[in-house]
Amino acid sequence: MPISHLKMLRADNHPHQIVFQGRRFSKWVKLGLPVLCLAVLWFLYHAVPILFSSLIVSVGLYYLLNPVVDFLETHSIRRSAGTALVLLSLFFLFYLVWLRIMSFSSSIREEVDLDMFQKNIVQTVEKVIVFAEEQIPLIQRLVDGDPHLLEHSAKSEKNESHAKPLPAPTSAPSKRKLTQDIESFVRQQIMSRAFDMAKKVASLFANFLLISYFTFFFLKDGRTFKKNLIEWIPNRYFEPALKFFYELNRRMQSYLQNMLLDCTLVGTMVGLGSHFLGVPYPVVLGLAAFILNSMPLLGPALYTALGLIITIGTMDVDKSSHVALGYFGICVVSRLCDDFVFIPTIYGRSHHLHAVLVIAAVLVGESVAGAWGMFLAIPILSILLLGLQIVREISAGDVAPPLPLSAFHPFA
Amino acid sequence: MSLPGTSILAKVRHLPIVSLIFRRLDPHQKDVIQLLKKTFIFGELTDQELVHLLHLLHERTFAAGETIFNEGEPGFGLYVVLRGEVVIGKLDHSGKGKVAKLPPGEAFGEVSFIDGSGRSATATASEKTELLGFYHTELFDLMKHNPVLASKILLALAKQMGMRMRAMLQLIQN
Repeated sequence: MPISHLKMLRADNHPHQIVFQGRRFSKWVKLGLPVLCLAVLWFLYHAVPILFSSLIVSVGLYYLLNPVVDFLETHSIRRSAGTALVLLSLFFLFYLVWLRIMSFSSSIREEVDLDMFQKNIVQTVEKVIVFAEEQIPLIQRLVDGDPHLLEHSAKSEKNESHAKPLPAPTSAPSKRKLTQDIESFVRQQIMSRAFDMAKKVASLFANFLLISYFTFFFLKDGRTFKKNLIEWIPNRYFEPALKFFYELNRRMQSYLQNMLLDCTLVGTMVGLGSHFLGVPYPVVLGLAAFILNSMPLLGPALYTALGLIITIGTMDVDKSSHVALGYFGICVVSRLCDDFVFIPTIYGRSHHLHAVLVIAAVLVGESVAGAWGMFLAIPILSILLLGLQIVREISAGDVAPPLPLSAFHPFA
Repeated sequence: MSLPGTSILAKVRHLPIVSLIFRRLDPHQKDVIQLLKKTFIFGELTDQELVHLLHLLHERTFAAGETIFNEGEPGFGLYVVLRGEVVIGKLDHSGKGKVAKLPPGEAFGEVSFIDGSGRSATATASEKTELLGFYHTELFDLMKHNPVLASKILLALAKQMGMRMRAMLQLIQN
């Protein structure tokens, strides 16, 4: 074939058209498909939240369990059989953990007397206020209504028109009212939440069924799903897209493994801290922190509340206030360590993201989509940056660097 | 000639309940496997390994005149011509074009597949062409999950490279 013919063949590729499966499509496909994907995700998030949450959890489980199923497959076990085996083992493990939690919870329930808890929490709050007054002179002065402080406050109010006024001094009757309010609030909450809890248990059961179903098929047919999805990509963008999906897969896997490490660190901190403080059931609290830490905002609140309930409900009032305050301190410190040390270093390193960028992404995620937004902020940021990197490589037309050696590592 | 037990096993495998357990290949997959057996790189693999490889290969269709890749472009895929014809073109120092036509069963793009460097020539589909693409992302996966198969493929590639190097040395000597 003469070279002129070859040039003619090259010129035949229209720059504004994408050729897919031998058919030509205009460029709108390039813009339309990502927008459609985002629209579907947005619709799922708003219209069918149970499906959205189940899908996200199933994808997470798929990334965690897929290496195990792959390992079984390399040892001549069929993929469907391997998937069933792994899921059954997981259910059995959950069942054992559930039994353990139930036995712990029944012994905790025997020890924690609700009436005693209600009485104790009021006294504990009083004690905490007294302790805070003793330890922090500023609060003491505010509570007593220090004339110098009030005078200074009045002056600063004059100077700064936007300055907030100091809180009104708390007197003994208002302290009593505060404790009565807390008592009635706790009683009201316990009664009113019972129905909500029943509804949540039913919803959790539905979620469990959906998650099991999705995870089974993701593990069994995930490879085919991915292959069929990739087949839709036009020839021109096929190789970069394949590289993108491969790197995405690798990063998602490392993200979930890092999450396990992060939860282990937080769980260990809470468990060890509780043990040294003398909080009852430190192992349960550590385990609760390990499991619940992956739930942004709600998780830490739950294990903190659990520890406080156990402490206040099982110990003497004199001792429980100090221990409860200490446990609260441990939870705050572990939360701060998680937010400002563990998450930026562990996740940032694996995703090549700066610590400040990670914190900013988590905060933006929280404001956009609440707890789910926080949970998905880092992977989404990582995907966006990876996409930008691939687009830059295509636009520059440079030679793509070979994939990193870490890609060969079994846990990379 | 097949062994007596083989035909019985084949009959058993076609029973409705048993066929649910064993996966059967469709005619297209059988064609692909036959073609792969004729290639230098995948020719020495067993049937079982070729079936495993089928999951990792991507079938791509190119229109007549469509460029598969341009010289110097980044790339990491190795292609086998399934149907149609591919034209490989390269300009030499004097500006003259060198052209090679690849019929079904021929493979191309091995150099970039191995080192991820830019393509050394331009490949174009001269008619409607179907290709089987094997990419080094899939090779990485294969290295993790089936190192024996990955090693066989890499060894075949190394053999082919070695043969080309010998041919080139002989050309220089002559």
